[in-house]
Amino acid sequence: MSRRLEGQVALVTGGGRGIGRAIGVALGSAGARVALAARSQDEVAEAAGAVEAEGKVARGWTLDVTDLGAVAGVVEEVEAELGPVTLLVNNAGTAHAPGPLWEVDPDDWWRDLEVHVRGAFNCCRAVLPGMVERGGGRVVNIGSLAGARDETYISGYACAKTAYLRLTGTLAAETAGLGVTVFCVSPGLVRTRMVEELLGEAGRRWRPWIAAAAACGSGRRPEDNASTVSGCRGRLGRMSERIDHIDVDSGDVLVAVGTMKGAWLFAGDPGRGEWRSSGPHFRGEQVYAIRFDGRGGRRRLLAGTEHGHWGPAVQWSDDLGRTWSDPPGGNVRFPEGTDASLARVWQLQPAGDDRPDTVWAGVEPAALFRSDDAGETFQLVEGLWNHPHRPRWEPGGGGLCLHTVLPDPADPDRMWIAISTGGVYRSEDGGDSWQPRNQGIRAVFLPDKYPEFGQCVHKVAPAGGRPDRLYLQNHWGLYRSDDAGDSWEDMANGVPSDFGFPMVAHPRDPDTAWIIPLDSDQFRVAPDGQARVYRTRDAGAAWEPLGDGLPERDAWLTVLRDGFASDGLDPAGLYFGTRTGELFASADEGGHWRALAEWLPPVVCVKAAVVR
Amino acid sequence: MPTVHLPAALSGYAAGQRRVEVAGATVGKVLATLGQAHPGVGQRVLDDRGVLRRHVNVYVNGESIRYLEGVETPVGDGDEVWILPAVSGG
Repeated sequence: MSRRLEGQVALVTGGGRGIGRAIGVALGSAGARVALAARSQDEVAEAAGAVEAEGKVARGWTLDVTDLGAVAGVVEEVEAELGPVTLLVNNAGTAHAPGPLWEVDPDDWWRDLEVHVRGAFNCCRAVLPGMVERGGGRVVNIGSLAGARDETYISGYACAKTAYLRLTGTLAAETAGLGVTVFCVSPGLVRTRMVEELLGEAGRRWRPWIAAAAACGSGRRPEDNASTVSGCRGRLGRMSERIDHIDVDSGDVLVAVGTMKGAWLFAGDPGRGEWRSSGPHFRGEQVYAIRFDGRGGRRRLLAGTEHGHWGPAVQWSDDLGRTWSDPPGGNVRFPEGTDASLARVWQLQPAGDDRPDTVWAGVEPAALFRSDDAGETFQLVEGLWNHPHRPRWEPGGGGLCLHTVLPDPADPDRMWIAISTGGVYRSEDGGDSWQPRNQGIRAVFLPDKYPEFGQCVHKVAPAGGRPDRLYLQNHWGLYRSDDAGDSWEDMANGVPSDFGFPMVAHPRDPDTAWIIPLDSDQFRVAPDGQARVYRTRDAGAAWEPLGDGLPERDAWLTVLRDGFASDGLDPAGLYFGTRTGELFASADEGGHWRALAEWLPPVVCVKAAVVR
Repeated sequence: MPTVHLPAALSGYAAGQRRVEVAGATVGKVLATLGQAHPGVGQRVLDDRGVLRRHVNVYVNGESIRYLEGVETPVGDGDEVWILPAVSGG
């Protein structure tokens, strides 16, 4: 049972049926005390009963939101009975005037506008003074796609929903710094009474596609939106104040997102349906490595940060981002005599559970550091730094970086690293000595196409449940090794391109892996502008495109080597971030996708973990 | 001793001071001593090799050390050393 909203009092207008009723139920089950307001006494009583049937607190009020005095009176009663309103959902709305503007009934047209705009105004007026005084509160306005584009023959409704967008933005700006957050949620076509009404005579005449969509079963259920609203805490935080912290329950999924301008955290419930976020952390800094480490009873976030002026560091937080430790003097430093200086932390990788305090850091210039105090201080791994190949490693497009560190979960002394450009190296002795493991991996940019080392390996992922199997995305080439890297076999069978950056292996099924192909090295974007993840379920013999919920065209997305991750759950959740600032998520191994965020700075790192 | 002026972003690593007096006969020696006294400042101004970071500028009495003698620029009593983030960096 979720208790995220315990202590909150929610007022939902239009709460007697449809989306409002479903929002009330969702807020109630999240722990809020719910006040439902609607014109129909019977419906609002039934809806309140539905919340109470779940063992939650709810009351119903009869209310016409266009009546300022009535709204003030109801809010007064709600606050007397349930406590101060901390969450207002402006959901009441009508669409009584379908048809061309010059034919519709003027009173109906203005009524649509009035219920929305005057109603939201009245409710905000009634609750905001208290929210501002208490320094906290949330307003969620239920918008519509009709507010974002030119929907025909429903102009009153469209004007009202457009007003909601502006109302949300201006109110968020006016309350910025006052503790009040303001959101707008656009549900899309939802099967409600209002939509049913649009299926009446005038609606069928002027908006027949609604009837067609309803007839073929299209449209979302009211409950689908309810979770979005009840989860409206940090999500869309850009519209309102900065949120520094998210609360995480045991079992929640934490997705850490590093960008060119800071980091963001997203927390989802175990079903991965509801998400909330915090950020930006490290405002303005490049965060190429960030991840959660739950070993040894800690709840630690590790971040490799890089200030444009003041240089890189590894910082950690034991309170999920509320505060960060940053040791003066730096904690990843090349020792004297190396004549090297840390340029960037590319990878932070916890060792196996048997070494809960060991963390590996892969950095630029290409080197490996080891921490034995859970990431607080690091020492250079001399065995790799003194490798005879090192002078011949060359920087790739991103710099000479050691970007992948893979400790063998079954053998604490065995591990792999990957360097661009240098290729794959394996150690059998805990990092003292390293052997190149690149047989079969192509280097298109060298005269010898299959050298011992020097390949531009982009990412390596260890298969789940089969210790000697590795998957590899190369700078041109997809490979699988079934012998711990001793040899590599091409597996680019039926993919639009074998160029790309990330590689994600299934946490348990050794035959399943995912890639995100790019057009080419010259044109590093989604092939044909189609955002697609490809999955193999037979160890690379065949690949299938997965695009449900991803942009189908004109989407020139780029996903970088650490921009794609799995959460390890069953079914495996997948997350990827783009250079254009979107974060996409799938809770069903890639079958369906949704955007968790848009308009972030360019995403360079996505890591997911379950918090215990 | 020369006086070193710190940018606001670094004063937090020097107990809130915006100006510190640091001994040293050259800019390089002043910065090294400053870094030892305040490692959080040192780490941000000098890289692992002790080299001035690329996007950090240092001025002596109003002139960039790039146009003087770099970190070998001599300094003495009453000289004003300014550390400033460059117009670049992120």
